[in-house]
Amino acid sequence: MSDELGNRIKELIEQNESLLSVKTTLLEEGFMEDDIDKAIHGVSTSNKDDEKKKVRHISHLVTGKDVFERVGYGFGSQQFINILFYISGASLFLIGIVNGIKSLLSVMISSFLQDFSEEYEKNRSALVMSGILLAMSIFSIAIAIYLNNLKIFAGGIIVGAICVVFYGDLYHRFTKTVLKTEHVPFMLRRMSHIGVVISAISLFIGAMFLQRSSNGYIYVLGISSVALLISVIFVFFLPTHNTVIHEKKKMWAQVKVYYSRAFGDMKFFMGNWILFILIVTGTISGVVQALGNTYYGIFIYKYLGGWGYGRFMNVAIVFSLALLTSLLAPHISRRNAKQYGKFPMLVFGTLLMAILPFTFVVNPHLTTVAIAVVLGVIGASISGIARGLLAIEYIPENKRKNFFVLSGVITTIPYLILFPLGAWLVSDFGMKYLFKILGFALVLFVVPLYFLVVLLHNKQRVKI
Amino acid sequence: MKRLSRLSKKGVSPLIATVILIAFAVALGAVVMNWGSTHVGESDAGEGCEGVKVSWFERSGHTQVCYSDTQIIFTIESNNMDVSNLKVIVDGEHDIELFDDVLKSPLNIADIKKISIPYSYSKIGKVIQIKAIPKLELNGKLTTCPSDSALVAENPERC
Repeated sequence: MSDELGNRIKELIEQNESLLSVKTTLLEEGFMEDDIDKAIHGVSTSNKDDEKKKVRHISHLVTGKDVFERVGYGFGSQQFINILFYISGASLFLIGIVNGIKSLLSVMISSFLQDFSEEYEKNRSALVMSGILLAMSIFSIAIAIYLNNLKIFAGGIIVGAICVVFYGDLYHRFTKTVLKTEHVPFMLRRMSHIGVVISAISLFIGAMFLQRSSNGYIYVLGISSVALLISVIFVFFLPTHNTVIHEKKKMWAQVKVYYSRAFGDMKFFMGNWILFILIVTGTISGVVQALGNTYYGIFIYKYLGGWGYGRFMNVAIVFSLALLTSLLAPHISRRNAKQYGKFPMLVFGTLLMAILPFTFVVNPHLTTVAIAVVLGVIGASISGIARGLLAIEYIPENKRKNFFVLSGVITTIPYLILFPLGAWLVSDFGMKYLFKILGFALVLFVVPLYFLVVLLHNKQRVKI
Repeated sequence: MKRLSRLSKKGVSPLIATVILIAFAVALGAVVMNWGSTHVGESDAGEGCEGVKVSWFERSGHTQVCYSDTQIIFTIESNNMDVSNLKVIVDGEHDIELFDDVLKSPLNIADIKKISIPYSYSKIGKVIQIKAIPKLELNGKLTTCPSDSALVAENPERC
């Protein structure tokens, strides 16, 4: 009897009937009121249990995916790949150009996806496909080294860069739809921190493989691609969200929307000096960081290899430190922003960033470079957070997204000019020469502009 | 007391805070860049001539060593330690010439320097070999490394 009643209640609830109307229907069908109340209580408790089980299941899948993805990124780190490219015979110029294309595509696709992912967030197959392609592109790099084919290598780097953005951004949106923030268990909430530690450990193990065996690259890139493939399997088993998909837009229509959105509020952004300076300085800082990151690893490998624990291990030490610092940096930044205010933090953060390229020029040794990397990561975080807070202060909420889209579009122009220029400088005058220019670009160009922002802000305050 | 509490609430202006933070960042940078140099420099010296590695700089796959009628031009880089100076031996068809201390300033790690030394084609003839021998500062003394740590360019091109 109670089973029959329970099944009938479930049936009615599935028909989207409210509990009150369920009770009325059942009373009309001749069930006893007491029995109905007990059965409804039992069914609602089991529904809650089902919901909990579902959340737990999704959390396990997401955690598994994140762990394997981090292992993949640690073994297939950008620094290792650039060094392997260099060892395979690529000139410093080619490395610069390939990394420039990679950075440019990353910036463009990332800002495009801000629009696309609104639709694609429900599209699990796009996510799975980008993950598989990412794993394959990393494996193609191993094949390229084996065949000594630089074209395949370069292609692998570029395709990998595109897939990383898709896999990362789409996944972020996708999990938002299948897992609501309030349901996320503690372990998963801490995953961004745990993930960084996993990446750092993978980086070390990868360095050991690369250092101990001449075929180390096969293990490292192989592990990276297999780990990424496993992470894709976890994504594959994630349930899709059953929300209604709105009308699908075509790709070119999205591009049109993207550009009209980017340039729609241009007058507003360009009319405000502070915002204009923020766009310019953000662009320069971005190029400086991207160009520096292209060559820092190679520099450590080439010139500081005789020190510490060996060529690859030294690279792993320095960049693991950078990863671990990135865990603490946002806390330090927020605390300082409260203490000193947003504007002074912009200048301070940029100066800290400049210490890294200058250390490579003035005193390039493992210890000093490691300290400078820590300061550089903190500096980048400080100025990044200060920029974000200023954007919140100066831009109305409805225009904020457009500001970041416009910044993304504008950034592409200097990338097209400065990356080839930087690559040429390295190939003709050496890495130290480029680092000197990067340091001076921050100190002599970005810092004075930020200082100007402070003065403009002061002036505006006085007017008010 | 009241005045003090009001001061602490108001804090410093953004301009003054910026100046203070600039000074702090500059000091921090100076410490980082100088602190390592003496510490690691000693270890460099410990490794000595056995570990020193200098190489001809390559531009677009071409080694940057050549000679004209009046000078020998080469670009050199230090790959793993600071080199105090260089001794260059030019072996020509007619004669051998030695140039000591060709660097005006030390060739530090990862430095790339273009060097030109005077040379007379009529006296030495066609250049057959150029040898650059690093000089290191070991235990406070400038020491010329043995010739097996020398960098050699055979039959360099005409500029």
